[in-house]
Amino acid sequence: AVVSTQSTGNYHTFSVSSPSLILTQLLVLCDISLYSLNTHFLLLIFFVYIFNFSFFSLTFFGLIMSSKLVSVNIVDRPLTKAKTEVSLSAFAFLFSELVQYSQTRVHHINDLERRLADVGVLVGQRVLELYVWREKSSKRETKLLGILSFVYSTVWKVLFGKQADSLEKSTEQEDEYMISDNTMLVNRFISTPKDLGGLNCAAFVAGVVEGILDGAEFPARVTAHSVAVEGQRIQKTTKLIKFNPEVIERDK
Amino acid sequence: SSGINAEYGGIFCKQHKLCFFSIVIAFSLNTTTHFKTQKEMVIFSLYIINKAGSLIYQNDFSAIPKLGGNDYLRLGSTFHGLHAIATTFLPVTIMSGLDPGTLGGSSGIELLEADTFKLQCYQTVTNVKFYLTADPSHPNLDQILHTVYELYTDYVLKNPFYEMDMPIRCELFEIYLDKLFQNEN
Repeated sequence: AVVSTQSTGNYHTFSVSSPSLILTQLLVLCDISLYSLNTHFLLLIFFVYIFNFSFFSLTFFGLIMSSKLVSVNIVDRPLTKAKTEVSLSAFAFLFSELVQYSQTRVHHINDLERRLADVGVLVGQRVLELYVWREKSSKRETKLLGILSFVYSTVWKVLFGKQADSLEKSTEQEDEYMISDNTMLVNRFISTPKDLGGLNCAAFVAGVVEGILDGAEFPARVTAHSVAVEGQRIQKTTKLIKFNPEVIERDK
Repeated sequence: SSGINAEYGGIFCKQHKLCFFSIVIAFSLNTTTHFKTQKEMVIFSLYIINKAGSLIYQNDFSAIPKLGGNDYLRLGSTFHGLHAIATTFLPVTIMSGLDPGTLGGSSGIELLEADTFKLQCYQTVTNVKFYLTADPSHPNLDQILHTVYELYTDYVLKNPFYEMDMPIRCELFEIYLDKLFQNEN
């Protein structure tokens, strides 16, 4: 008797190839802890009972059940999902394609950075909503340093797996702050050619930060720059955050 | 001058003897300087050839005399040609459309050994060829070739500014290659 069960995320695919009633019952009971879709549970038991006498229809039904369970609408999935990871190579190829796609639609490098930033703004607005909800803190951030430390620690940790390397306040201008990262994940495999000098694909991440700050009512302009570090040939990336004047006024 | 004394490395084929000899001469002339004093395993250079047969990357990792840019291109194309010819060496009847390597025939040149150098080639499933020239007693060239292939897939193929089959001009690729060969040499 071969019964295989797989659980992927919140939904459960169940494929049975043996007609043994007791065995399937036992296994279904064992899998109770894995079920998170209770509405489908009773339905499954019902079907397992009825069709357990026939070898072929059970296998067939298993396939149908599994396809029914897999197609859960993305809006119905619970928000407090366990942490899932995506392969770095998959992301790198997707991001590389995003850059190439934008490159075919612009005439200037600045426009390319602007396009990447625009994509980032859309991502940033959603990141803000989701992670503020997941953090479950009762109060909304109203202080400048509060929202900056949220970006610096929480957002960086969920997006890149680690906190940003440093948060600095500019000494000359009081409305400028800088978040830097020595090894920016999005830039890890990208070497910009010399003739496109100045372009930094971390403009996408700058857009994410801008989206977050905008959504949290701290309007700012965020740009990405590469800063050379002595002793290393790979440059570190800095996001320069320039807040609008009303934000600084408000914070005083 | 001892570099001219080259062995054929086990491939005996009368009609291809001349071009084979020429490529061995070319590589050994390139690698003749002051090796007798060095005893350690040194890797001389890396060549990468795209599927069309043109050289897309060449770099030297130890002190060997530099040839001109065109000479490197010529070396690359000659090797590509020989690699292709080597698939016809074994007398296996080839059905149309099938790769000779899958029928037990030859899939090209993998190793070329001479008195003063050793050349190991790795052909990927996408017909990109990576080959290294090194000291004849170097033990694990194929491992290094696999690492180079990994670096290629990471820092060249994931680079949005790299066009397929064009010469490789990716800074990160060169940085990591330098690091790899500094550890090796």
